[in-house]
Amino acid sequence: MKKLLSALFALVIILAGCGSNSDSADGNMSDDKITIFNLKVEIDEQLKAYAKTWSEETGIEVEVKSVGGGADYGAALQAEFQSGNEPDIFVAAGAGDFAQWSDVVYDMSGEAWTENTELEFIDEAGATVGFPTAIEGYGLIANTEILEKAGVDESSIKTYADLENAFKTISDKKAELGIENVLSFTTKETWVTGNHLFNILLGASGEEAVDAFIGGDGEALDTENFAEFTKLLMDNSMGDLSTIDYDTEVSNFATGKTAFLFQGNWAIGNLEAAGYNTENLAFVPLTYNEATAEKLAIGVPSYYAVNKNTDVTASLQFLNDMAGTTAGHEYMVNEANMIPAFTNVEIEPADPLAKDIMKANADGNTIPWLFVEFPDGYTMNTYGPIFDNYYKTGDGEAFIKNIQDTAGNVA
Amino acid sequence: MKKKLTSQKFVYWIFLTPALLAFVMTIVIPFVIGVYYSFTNWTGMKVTEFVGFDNYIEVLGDSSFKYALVLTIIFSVLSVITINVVAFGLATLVTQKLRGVNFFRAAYFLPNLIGGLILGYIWQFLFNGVMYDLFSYSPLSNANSALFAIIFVLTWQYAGYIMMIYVTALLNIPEDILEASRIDGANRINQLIYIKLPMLASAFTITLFLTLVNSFKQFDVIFSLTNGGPSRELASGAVVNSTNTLAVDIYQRAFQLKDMQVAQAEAVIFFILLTVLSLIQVRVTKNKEVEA
Amino acid sequence: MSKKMSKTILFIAMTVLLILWITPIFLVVSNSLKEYQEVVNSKAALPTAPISQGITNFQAILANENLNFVNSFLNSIIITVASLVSLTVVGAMAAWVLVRTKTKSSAIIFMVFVASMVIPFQAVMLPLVSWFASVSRFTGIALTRSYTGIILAYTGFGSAMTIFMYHGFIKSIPYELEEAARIDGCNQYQIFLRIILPILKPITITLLILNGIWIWNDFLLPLVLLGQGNAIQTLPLGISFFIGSFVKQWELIMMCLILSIIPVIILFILGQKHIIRGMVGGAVK
Repeated sequence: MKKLLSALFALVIILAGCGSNSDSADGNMSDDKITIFNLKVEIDEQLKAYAKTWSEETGIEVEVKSVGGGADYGAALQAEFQSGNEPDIFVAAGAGDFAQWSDVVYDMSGEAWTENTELEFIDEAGATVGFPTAIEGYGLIANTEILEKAGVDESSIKTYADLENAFKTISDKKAELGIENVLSFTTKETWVTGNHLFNILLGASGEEAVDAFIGGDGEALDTENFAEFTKLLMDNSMGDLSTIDYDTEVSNFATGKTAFLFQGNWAIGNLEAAGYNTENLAFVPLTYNEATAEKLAIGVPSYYAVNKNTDVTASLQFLNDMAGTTAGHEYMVNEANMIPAFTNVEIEPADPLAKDIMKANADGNTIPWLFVEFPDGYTMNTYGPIFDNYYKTGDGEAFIKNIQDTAGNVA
Repeated sequence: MKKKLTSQKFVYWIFLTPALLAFVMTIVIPFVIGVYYSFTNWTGMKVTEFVGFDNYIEVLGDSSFKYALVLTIIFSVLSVITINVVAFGLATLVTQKLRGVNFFRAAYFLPNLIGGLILGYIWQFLFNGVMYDLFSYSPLSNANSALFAIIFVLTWQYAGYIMMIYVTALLNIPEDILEASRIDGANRINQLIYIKLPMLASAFTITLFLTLVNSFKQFDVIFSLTNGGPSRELASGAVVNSTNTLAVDIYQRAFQLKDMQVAQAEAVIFFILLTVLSLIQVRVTKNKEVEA
Repeated sequence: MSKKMSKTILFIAMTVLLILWITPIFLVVSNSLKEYQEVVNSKAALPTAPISQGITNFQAILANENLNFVNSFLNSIIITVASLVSLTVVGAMAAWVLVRTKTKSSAIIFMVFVASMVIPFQAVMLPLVSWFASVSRFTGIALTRSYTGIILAYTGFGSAMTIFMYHGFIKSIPYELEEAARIDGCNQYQIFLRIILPILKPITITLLILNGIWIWNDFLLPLVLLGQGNAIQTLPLGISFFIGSFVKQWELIMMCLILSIIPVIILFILGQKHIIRGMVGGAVK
C-alpha cells in the first residue's frame, strides 16, 4: 500500500508539479513587449534583427515567432489564440483570413503609415485592418544572357505574338544555346498554377467579368486565348511538370538549363544562393491577349494585422516605424529583399526584378491579384488539378470546359 | 466480507481513475466540444448560432467529400492488405532459425523510427528527385501510381511495426505442435495453412484493426508526400486532386478554406464511419477466431 | 531441397528485402552530407565532400537559433520519458482491473477506450487547446506551453492503445497465479506490484518502444499545445523550421533527422534483445 501511494504521489508530482515551467512571459497585456507571429520562415532572421534594433531604441521588447513547416500557419495561429497566448501582430493573407479574424483585428484607420500607401487592406465595414507587408510581382523571369545569345530582346516582348516568336526562336536554338528547354515551370506546385497562372485569366478579364464568373457565368472570362497561352507554356517547359517542386524549378533556371522561369521577385534570394548572376534578369509579361500586353501581375501577398484584444499602442508604433523610418525602410528593402508598399520609401531596391516591378507599378502596367479575393486555398485546390490535367491530356476544350464549369461554385 | 468488497471496489476505481482522468481530459471532453461545434456556426474563434444539421448537409452534398470518401475506402482496403501481407511475409522470414535474424528484424523496423511528416517529404524527394534523376520517371506524376506510391511508402514504414506483432504471435506457437505435425508428414505450406494461420487469428484481429485505423486516419504521410496531388479526371469530366483522402480533406477544409464548423461535421462523420467499419472488421475476424 | 540450400535462399531473400528497406535511409544519409545546391542539382549522386560538408551541416544545425538543437533535444527526451512513465503506469493499472473485474462497467469502459482510437486527431485538436486553456485559467495549472499539459495529453491520447495492448496480454495470464498469491495473504496492491508488473515486462518493453517512437516523432500535438519557438519545443517542431513556404533546406532537414533518430535507433537495438527474450519467455509458459 505504501508503495502504491508513493507511486501515485510521484505521478501527481509529474502531472502537477511542472506547472511552473510554463511560459509565464506572456506579455500581451503590457506595453513592454509585443509578439509578432510571422508566416515566412524565410525572413525570420532579418525580421528578428530589425526587431532587436527597434527594441534597443524604444525599450519595448519584441518577440518574433516564425512558423515553419509549409502549410501549418493557419493551424498554429489558431492554436495560439485558442490557448490564450494571443499574438499582438499576426499575418493575414487576404479576404478569407480577415473574415475569420474579423472580431480580433484592430481598425488602423488614420495611422501615420496609411497616408503613404493605397495598398492597405480595407474590410467590408470600411476599416483599415491590414498593413501591407510588401509588393510582389510575378511573370516570366528571363535569363538575359541566354536571350541575348539567341538574338531576342526581352524588352521587345510585349504581346502574345511576340512571346510566341521569342519562344520559337529560342526553342529552335536549344542545342546551340546549351539549354534543355525554353521555360522552367511546374504544375505540381498548385499555388503556381491555381493561384498565379489562373490569376492572369482573372486579372486580364477585369473585376466585372470576375464578378460575373463568380455569379455563375462561365463565358465571362477569356478562357480560349488563355488555354492556347497555357499550352504554349507547357509545351516549352522542361521535365515532367507534375513532379517539379519549387526548389527544382528555380534550380533548373539558375543552372542555365532554361531561358525563362515562371516565378516572382521572391525567387531572387534563391537564385542568388544558387550562384546565379542576378544582373542578368528581367521580367517578361505573361501575356495572352490585349488586356495583358506589357503587364505584370502585382499585388500584396500578405498583411500585418493588429490584435485589438491587446494593448495596441506598441504594435502600432512598431508598424508606423517600419513604414516611416529609414531603419524600417532599410530592413524592408535591403535586408528582407522586399519591395515596400509605401510611397515614402526612398531606398531603391538593387535587384533588376524589383526594379521592373516598381516600373510597371509606376506606369500602371499591372494585373491585380484577384485570387486573394477567393477563400484561401480555393483557387489552388480547384484550378491546380485542372492545369495539371491539361498538361497531361493536352485537351484544350476539356480545359476550357473544366474552368467554365466552376463558375458560380464559390459563394 | 463487506469490508473486503468495498476494498475491492475501491481498488478498482483507484487503479482506473488516473487513466480515465487523462482520457476524459484530452479526448472525451474535446471530442464532445467538437461534436457540439459541428452543430453551430463556429468560426474557430466563437459560436453565435446553433445551425442544426446544416453543416452535415453541406458536407454530404459536397463533391470533394464524396470523392474523398470513395478514395479513402479504396485506399484503406488496399493498404490494409498490402501492409499485412508484407508484414506477415517479413515475420515468417525473421522467425526462421537463421543467424542474424535479430539484425534483420531491427532493419525492417527501422523506417518506423522516422516521423510521418518528415517521412513524406523525404519520399517526395526520393521519388521526384532521386528516382526522376535516374529514370526520368516518378510515380507521383500520375494519379493511379501516386496512390500506389503512398501505399508503398506506408508499407515501407508500417510493415516493420506490424511484423513485430506477427513475430510475437508466431513465436508463441508451441514448438511441440509443429513438431507433431511434422511427424504426421505436414510440409511447411500445410503447417502454415492448417496450424499457423488459425493460431494467429487473434493476432490478425489486432493487426487488421490497427492497420485499418492507421490507414483510414493517415494524414501526415499523404499531406507531405503528395499534398493531395496530382490531378485525376473523373468520368464526369470534372478534375480533382487525386489523393485527397478524408483526413486531408478535413484538414484543408478547416485550415485552408477556414470552414471550421463544416470540417468538424466532416470529422464527426469520419468518426462514425470508421467506428462502423472497425466494428464490422473486429466482428468478422473474431468469428474466425472462434471457428479456429 | 536440402536444408542448407533453403536456408541460403531465405538468407538471400532477406538480404534483398533489406537492401530495399535500407536504400532510402542510405540516400538520406548521403544527401545530408551535401551542400544545398549539390542536393538540388545531383540528388542521386554520392556527396563530393562528405566529411567536410557533413561537419558544416552539423555545425549549421547546432548553430540554428530557431531549432535550438540541444534544448529541443532535451525537451523531446523529457517529454517522451515522462509521458512513457505516466502512460505505462496508468495504462497497466487500468488494464489490469478492467480484465480482472468482469462487470458491465468494465466492458463499457474498455469499449469506450478502444472506440476512441478511431477519432481523427484533427477533430479534437482545436477544442483540446481551448479546453486546456480554460482549465489553466480555472485551476492555475498551466496546461498549454507546459510539460504538464503535453504529458497529460500524451497520457490521454496513448491510453487507448496502451490499455488495448495490456488488456490482451493480461487476459492470457492465468488467474490461478493471483489466487495463489491471495491465499498467501497478498492484497490487491501487492498482487499488482509483485505478480502482475513483472509478468508484464515483455509487453511493457514493446509498448515503450511503440509509444516512444510515436511521441518522439509527433508533430501536430506539440505544434498546437507547445507552439513553435517557445521555451519548450520538441525536435519535430524544430526540424520544420527548415521547411519554408517555398524552399526546403533538404541537407539540414536530413542531417537533423539523422541526429534525431540516432538515439532512438540505439535504444531500439538495446531494447530489442529484451523484446525477443520476453517473447520467448512468454512462449515457454
